[in-house]
Amino acid sequence: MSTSIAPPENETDLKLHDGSVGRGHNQGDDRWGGGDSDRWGHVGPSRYGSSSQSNRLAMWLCMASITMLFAGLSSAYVFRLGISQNVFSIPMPRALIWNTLILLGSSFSLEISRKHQRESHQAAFRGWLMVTTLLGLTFLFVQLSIWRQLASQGIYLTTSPHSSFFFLLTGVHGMHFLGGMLALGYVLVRPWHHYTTKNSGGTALDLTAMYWHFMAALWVYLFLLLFFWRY
Amino acid sequence: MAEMAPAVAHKAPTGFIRKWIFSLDHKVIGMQYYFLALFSVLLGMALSIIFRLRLAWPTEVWPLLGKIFPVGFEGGPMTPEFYLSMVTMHGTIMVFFVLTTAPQGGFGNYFLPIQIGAHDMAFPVLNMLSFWLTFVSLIVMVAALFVQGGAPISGWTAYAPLSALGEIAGPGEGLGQTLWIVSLAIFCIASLLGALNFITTTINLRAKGMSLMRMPLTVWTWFTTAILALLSFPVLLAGGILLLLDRLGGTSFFVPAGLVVSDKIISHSGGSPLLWQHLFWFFGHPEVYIAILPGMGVASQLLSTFARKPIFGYRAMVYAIFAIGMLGFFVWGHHMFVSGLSPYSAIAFSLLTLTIGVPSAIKTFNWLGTLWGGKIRFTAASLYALGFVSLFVSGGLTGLFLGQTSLDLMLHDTWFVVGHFHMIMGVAAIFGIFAGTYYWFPKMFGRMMNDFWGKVHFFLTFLGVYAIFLPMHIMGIMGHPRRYAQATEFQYLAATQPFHKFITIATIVTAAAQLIFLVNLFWSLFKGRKAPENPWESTTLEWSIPSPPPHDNFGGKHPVVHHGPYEYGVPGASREFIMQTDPPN
Repeated sequence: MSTSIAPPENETDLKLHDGSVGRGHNQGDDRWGGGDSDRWGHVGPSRYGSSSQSNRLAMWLCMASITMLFAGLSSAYVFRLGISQNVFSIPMPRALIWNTLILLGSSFSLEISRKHQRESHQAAFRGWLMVTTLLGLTFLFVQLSIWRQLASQGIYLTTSPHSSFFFLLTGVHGMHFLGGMLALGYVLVRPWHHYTTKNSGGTALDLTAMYWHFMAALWVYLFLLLFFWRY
Repeated sequence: MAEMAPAVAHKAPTGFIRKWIFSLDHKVIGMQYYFLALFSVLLGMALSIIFRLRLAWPTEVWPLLGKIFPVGFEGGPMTPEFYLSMVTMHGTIMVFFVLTTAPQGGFGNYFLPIQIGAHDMAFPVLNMLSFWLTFVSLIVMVAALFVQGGAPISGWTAYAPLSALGEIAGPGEGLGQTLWIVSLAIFCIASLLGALNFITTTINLRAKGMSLMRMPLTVWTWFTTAILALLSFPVLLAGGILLLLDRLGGTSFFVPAGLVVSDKIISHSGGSPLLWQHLFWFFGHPEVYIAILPGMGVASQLLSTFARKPIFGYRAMVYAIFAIGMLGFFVWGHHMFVSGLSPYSAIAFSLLTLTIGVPSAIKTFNWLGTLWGGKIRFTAASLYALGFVSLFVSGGLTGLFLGQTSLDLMLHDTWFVVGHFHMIMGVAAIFGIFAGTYYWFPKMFGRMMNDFWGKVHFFLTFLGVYAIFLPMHIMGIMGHPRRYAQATEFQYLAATQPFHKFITIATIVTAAAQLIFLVNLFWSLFKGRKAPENPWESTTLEWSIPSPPPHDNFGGKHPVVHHGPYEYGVPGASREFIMQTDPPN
């Protein structure tokens, strides 16, 4: 990196740089993309296009907005069940516990895969990525079969407020999860050389992992909300 | 890293389609948003004239309109349902496709990257997607006017259970209402993509030297607006999903038990209409600031430029923008004071609402402080910025009435509320758009607009909007409820009918005055005087590049910023104004 910190020009600058100088200019630290501009100050020249730093920030923002979507839906859930006359709630399907473990396992295997990517073990990287994909597919399949199982027991979207929210929340989560599956497919089919240089394939993998873990955490939250939260 | 980065985000396109239709260039996308909003504002205005006719002359027969909308004029005069559908579509189109679209999507898209010294947005493809989703959303919304049963009648707030029941609740509540919800769901996603882009661009793509406290206040307002959009639109989307399920899936989120409509018992049970109000207003109140904040940014930028003085209290302005934005998330309950809300929550909401008066007053004080002792240059642009301040104060003061629970009991759902929010959210934001148009037109299109006709347009519009919206406050205090197509049957409202006539005539005159603007806009587009690089002697980055700017904004160069955004009349400086990119003194 060739740029250096511009000397502060006036008092305003001095205040701003204070603290940010030491933070952003560590070349080895690629948490924010290892870039030439620190996060809040202004040092390097601006970079154009989708740098990995921008991608990461965008992913955080994306997760913030998905969080707000589910915050809206879950406050509706709490409100609606609080005033409900129809107290029927779905007995927790046993398969959900196993499915939660499957999903957490997929997060775990994705991390193992990323470890192999960092250590440049191509075969192990792809192998664990395949495991993650299969676990993800299993999760979706089990969710769908739980829906079918409930329907065969006569429990539908309109049966009670609890069932409405069960189908709604699992459905909206499933749709977002499908997005994660697509991202996983994308990193799976990319040729290996993308992963050997920093900031190209690595970024896509990192972003996918962020989203994947977010989906797992979101599911655990929804699972607890639907079956363990009571007034 | 800088060496590795390409000089431009994408090459200048050559074909017509890639250049003007599916463009990745933030400037073209900004213009696309602007013209989408221009189409929408004309449509929204036309709808308002139609329903104003009904209010002023309730029994009159309009043969021409009857030919265009045979269903709405069955049996002679306009039906009340048709009146309501016009009100609904007017509100929806204005709020979403004008006030949310033009200041943020239009000017924000065009000028945010340039003002921070970037070559484009962080994600040009997302930017293009965001516009085209907005376009699809508008098409779906306009389609609601032409489907069987017509447009929905539930207002821009789509209160349940009216909006949740389907056709049985009235014409327009069938397919029309469904299209309305689908359109807004698409709009939510478009806005989220846009917000993501604005925030990332502001944080990551600032030029060398462009510290946060050197950003123009316009950038601060676009940035804050984007944060509001990012956090509030998902909640509207959540509400929309629930409402759609109530309508199409048979669930009962918003429909209460034992509801009888048109002599039929509704099979849904146990839901709460208030739940919809909570979800809607959690979005709806930040939405008010999404509409008005960019106007505040434009007013700050213009008042400083045209008073030839630095903005008074730059930092206070920044904090006030952020305070208004963040407080906006905690005041939604003031739309629901009469809904049976617990008085304790009502007091909390009321206190927080009145607290917003503090940053708002800081801003107003600082605008006046900026003007004080300035050598004010009166142009169409600066007049509109002054008009913005006037409307912001007039509309803001009545907010203090409505924010108090006891006064709101009396004024809620009357024309007073209509007058209030049109002043502050409607025309104040529109004045911000007009100010931005007269100010930035030379940069966007390389030609000047006619300033004389701009001033004529300003004075007619300024007097016009006060003539329209001031009497509404009086009607509200007299007890005239809003949303009624006709009040002539009520003895106690007999005295308000002349007001209705006056307002309708003022509306038609003010709408006609907009022709001056349209002619000026399109005439200047092709025949206007060629604009120099910096016609207003402004200091921000967009005025340091040619008009119109080249494809990558800075001609392959990386601008370096050495100064704050508003250095006018600095003592001891060699020039009357110091550009942000001028070398350090």
